[in-house]
Amino acid sequence: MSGFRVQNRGLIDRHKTLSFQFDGKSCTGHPGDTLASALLANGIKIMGRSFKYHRPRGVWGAWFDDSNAIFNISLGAIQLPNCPAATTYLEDGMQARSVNTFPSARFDIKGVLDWFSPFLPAGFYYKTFMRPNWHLFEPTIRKMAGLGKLDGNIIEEYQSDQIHQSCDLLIVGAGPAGLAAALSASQKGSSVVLVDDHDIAGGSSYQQQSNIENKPASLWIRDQIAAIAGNGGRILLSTTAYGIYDHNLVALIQDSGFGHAPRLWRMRAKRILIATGAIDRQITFANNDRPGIMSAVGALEFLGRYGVLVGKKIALLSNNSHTQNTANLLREAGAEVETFDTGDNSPVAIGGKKLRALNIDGKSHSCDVILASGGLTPVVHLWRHGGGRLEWNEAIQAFIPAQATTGMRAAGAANGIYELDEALADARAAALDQPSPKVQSAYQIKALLPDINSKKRQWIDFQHDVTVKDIELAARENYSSVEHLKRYTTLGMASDQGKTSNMAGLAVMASLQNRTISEVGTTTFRPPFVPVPFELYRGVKRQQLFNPPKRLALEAEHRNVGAAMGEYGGWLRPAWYGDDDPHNTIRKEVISARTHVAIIDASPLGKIEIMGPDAEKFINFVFYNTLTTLKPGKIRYALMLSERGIVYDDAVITRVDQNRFIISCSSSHVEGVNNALEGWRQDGNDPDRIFVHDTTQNWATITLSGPKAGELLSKLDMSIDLSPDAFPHMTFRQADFLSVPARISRVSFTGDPSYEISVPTLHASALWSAIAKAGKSVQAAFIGVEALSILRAEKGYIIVGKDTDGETMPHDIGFSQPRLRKESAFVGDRALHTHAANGQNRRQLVGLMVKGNECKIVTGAHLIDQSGSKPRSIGYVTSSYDSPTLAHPIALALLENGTARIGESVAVWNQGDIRQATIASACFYDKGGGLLNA
Amino acid sequence: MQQFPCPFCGLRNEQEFHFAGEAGKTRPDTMKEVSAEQWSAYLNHYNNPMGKTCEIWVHLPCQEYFVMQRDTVTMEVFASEQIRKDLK
Amino acid sequence: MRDDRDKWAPAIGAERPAIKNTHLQLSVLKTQRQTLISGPYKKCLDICKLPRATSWPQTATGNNYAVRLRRDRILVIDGPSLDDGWHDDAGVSVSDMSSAYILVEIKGEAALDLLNRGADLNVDIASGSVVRSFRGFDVFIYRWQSETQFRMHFHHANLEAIWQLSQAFEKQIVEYNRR
Repeated sequence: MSGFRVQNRGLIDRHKTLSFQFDGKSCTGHPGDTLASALLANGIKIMGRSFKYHRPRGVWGAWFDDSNAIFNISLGAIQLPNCPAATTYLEDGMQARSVNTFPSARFDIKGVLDWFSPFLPAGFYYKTFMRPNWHLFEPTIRKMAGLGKLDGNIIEEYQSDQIHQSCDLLIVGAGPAGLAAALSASQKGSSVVLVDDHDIAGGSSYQQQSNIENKPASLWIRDQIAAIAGNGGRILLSTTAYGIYDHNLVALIQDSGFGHAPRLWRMRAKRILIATGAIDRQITFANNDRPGIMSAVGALEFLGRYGVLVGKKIALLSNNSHTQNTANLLREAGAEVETFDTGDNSPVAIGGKKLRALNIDGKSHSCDVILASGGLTPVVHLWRHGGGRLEWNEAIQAFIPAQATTGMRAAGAANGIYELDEALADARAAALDQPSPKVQSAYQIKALLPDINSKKRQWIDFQHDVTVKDIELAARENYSSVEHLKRYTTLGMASDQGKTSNMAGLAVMASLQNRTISEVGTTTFRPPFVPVPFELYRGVKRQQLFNPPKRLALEAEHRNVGAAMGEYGGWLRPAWYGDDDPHNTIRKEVISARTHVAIIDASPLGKIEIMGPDAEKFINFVFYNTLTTLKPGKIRYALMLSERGIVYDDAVITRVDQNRFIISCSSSHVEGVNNALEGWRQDGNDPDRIFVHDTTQNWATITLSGPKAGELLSKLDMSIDLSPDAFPHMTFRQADFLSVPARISRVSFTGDPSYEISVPTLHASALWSAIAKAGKSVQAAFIGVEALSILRAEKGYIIVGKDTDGETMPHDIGFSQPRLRKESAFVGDRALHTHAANGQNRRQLVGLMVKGNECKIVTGAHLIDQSGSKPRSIGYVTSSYDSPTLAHPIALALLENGTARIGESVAVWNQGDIRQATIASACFYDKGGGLLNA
Repeated sequence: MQQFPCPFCGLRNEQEFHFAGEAGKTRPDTMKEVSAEQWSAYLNHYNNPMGKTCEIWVHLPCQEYFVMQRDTVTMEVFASEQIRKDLK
Repeated sequence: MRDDRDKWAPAIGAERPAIKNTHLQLSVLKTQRQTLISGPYKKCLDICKLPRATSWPQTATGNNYAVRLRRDRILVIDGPSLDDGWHDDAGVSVSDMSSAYILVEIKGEAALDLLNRGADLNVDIASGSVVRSFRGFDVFIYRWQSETQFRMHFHHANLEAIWQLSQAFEKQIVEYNRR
């Protein structure tokens, strides 16, 4: 027990007491406390265990610069893992447990691992568990490692709010520099956003009990805030800028309290000012990881913000002038303080879970806390995220911001300016984008050189137990580049992100190699600056909003007649109708379509209109098939290729008149086809003579297919002559349906006579009702996408992307003529005449048959050649169904040289089982095509 | 997230754009003899320079295809210009 | 055969109550006609007899107006009836899109807050086109009648998704204002 609460200090609300538990022990705190400050006030020093050796750990820093105390916290029904104790505000009833410990941080069974540390150097796991296979060991090692535990419960309302905003100037850090800058900029009329990760503005001013510009600090801060707000500036508290991304996009996470999802601000700033202050650097000395060894700046933070004195008998070890006042402040608060210079002799901390003394210069000085200050270190992480460069400043022994991309500045302590008045002047100049005033710094610091020859363990990364010896080993094994060093030793990884360990690690590497720290350089700083929960990025994009399908205008009508809606190509469409066994239902739907007439909602089919005087020339170029010969009122099937000659989509193209075509492409390819058309239109054509309108969603389409399709259509009274001579297959008519324009295309995706009737979507319901009503007399049936898939497969009609793949060219699926005969250029033309395109073993579309009493082949099964010493895949099954029409299974497949092998037998391999199938033409139904013209 | 200048819409977020190829390539006249090398160069050969580059992008919402000069290292964008020359 | 019939909540369609709170109202509006006209900008305006098409962040006014979608495309709201297809004399292409797009109106002091949860709208960055990505959906967003009243068009098939998104955003705005 060493820390305690002192009177008249801190910003906490002492009128109210909050109760909480830590590792089962009851404690109290006050509003305004963090878990770390409350625990210190309760005299608790051990708050966690290190990752690798399970050594006891206390807090090092008072804010984001602590990676030692990480808790699982539950409050009511909510449990969250991996909460940093130093930045999590205390709430009444919290139950905190240190992570990575059992049964508690104070008595951790795995602490025994520390005894084996001589056998667990850096790279131990890499080297030891490489053979025979890391994956054998991984589960056990992962279990030993790991931090917080997820409780598996989903917090229903835990949904982050994500907002886009922009501003002229974003200032990160509402310390004295940030506040001064915000006021200056807002006075000039800039839109200013000032963010700070604490829940109260003021930054480092709570550490020193001094005036700012001749006013008590709290008064000065209050005045600045009022003036900024008066000028229209905005201050976001409890908000951390955790990353700067390209083109000045700053990611802000705003804390909403424990158990509430944080808010994400995507802030686009014209200019950014980094006023993030400076943190204390650790000192590398023997046993420097013991609980009770803390940052000197951190100790002042605990005192100034939370009224907690970290110890009674404090040894203050420092190499810099910034701590001159620290001892006085601590003494005033009631501590006994002895100060020590780092000197030339490496100090040694004495004690285990409880610190007993600091040995230095041959003498032992008893103490319960050692404050180590290795020098102020500007917080430059965001500066580097934003692409700013760093330079080593020998005088202050720190990396400070140098050149930056346009629009980013640093000011105050973050800029290496530690004196208050100079920092304020610097900040005001930066706010107005004026040059910084010249500063004569009074700050003094001695270079810290770690004793690399010491036999004792000196710790660099407290979270991962990286010691000086580990860095030595890394250097010896030539992992001397800082980026290699980091990965080999895990130095500065995880939540620390180098905040505390980076400088100490660099100093060791510099000493080992007789280089300067600036020559060693720093690792890359990457977002996030502090750990952020995954939830931050999910937001509302979950459940029904994760990947919502498009909805049909007729969805209610389909559901009314029992449709089982399913997702097909981005649309929610009827899969089948009714509640009976789906297989049986789908079979019945197919039979109805073949014997009477089927009613299909085909609204998702593309309707892209190409208009203009150059439309014909354009469409003839973009599609594989010759379309210049297509007459108005006629329809042609065509393929769209990529420039590589691969089939991208198939479409039926209607020529409405000389200057107007309608492309009915696949439902799921509308956007892609539209984009491809638009690309060709603007590149190499006169875009004033061709226009592409995607009108797909303006039209609802209902297809009637089957022997009685014409009969049903005639009942709709649209005054069209439906005789096959007057309205033959592959032609188009415009008509009126209840005084709205209707289009009727006689095309078929089933092999039976079919009519696609389209009306504006707002009238879809009327058309549906009329068809449903008229359909009763001809035994019409609603059929879903599943039945349609069977119907088209029976006829051998492909679905591009299912029955074709990324190698399929048009001649592989039976369309060879344009390749050989087309007289004008078209997309993909040259690619159809390459060596590969002419190859003998191209995979071609074929049908497969098995005996009627056998079960169908599995889709995706390989077709194999067993003639060699090893079986070889020569193709695969793309579609496979039990054909209700033919009463035997059918399949479509892509098979090497398949067309020439029709009639032969082929071996079909599926998960080790081999069976035989007969290769057939891809068309099983009405091979002559006579029905289509009926 | 970068911001790109669509010549028609001005600055918009990167998510609204698609890369459409390196600028300066011309489709070979396929009505004449095109060698396999020429065709392969047209399809596959990208300079992919480190630093300054000139590319074709499309702004998806307004479907404007344009040429953009930018730096692949610093992410700086220098200029963008509509691909169609006639409407200036 | 996987039966997904209960996976997605049934679509409600365009007839639905407004999303409403003290800061915000979002409702589906009915239009008589929406017409897509493509061609050189001047020619597009000539055929529908309008002086201009609204861009971002301009404000459209009245009941008959046009918004600019592309360099060479406008959408006319409640304009004259025009035949679909290529108009050789006028040099433009026309498609009636009255059935394609849902129109919603968003008004109230929090209107822009709602829109900024789906899109990145900056009133300081002018934009030729009113088309933007709203959580991945192409939408047209513009001001109508006043600077705090917005209209948004999108494909009807996305109504359920965009409405649900808006409801989620509205809830977040309420929560935000509560704190």
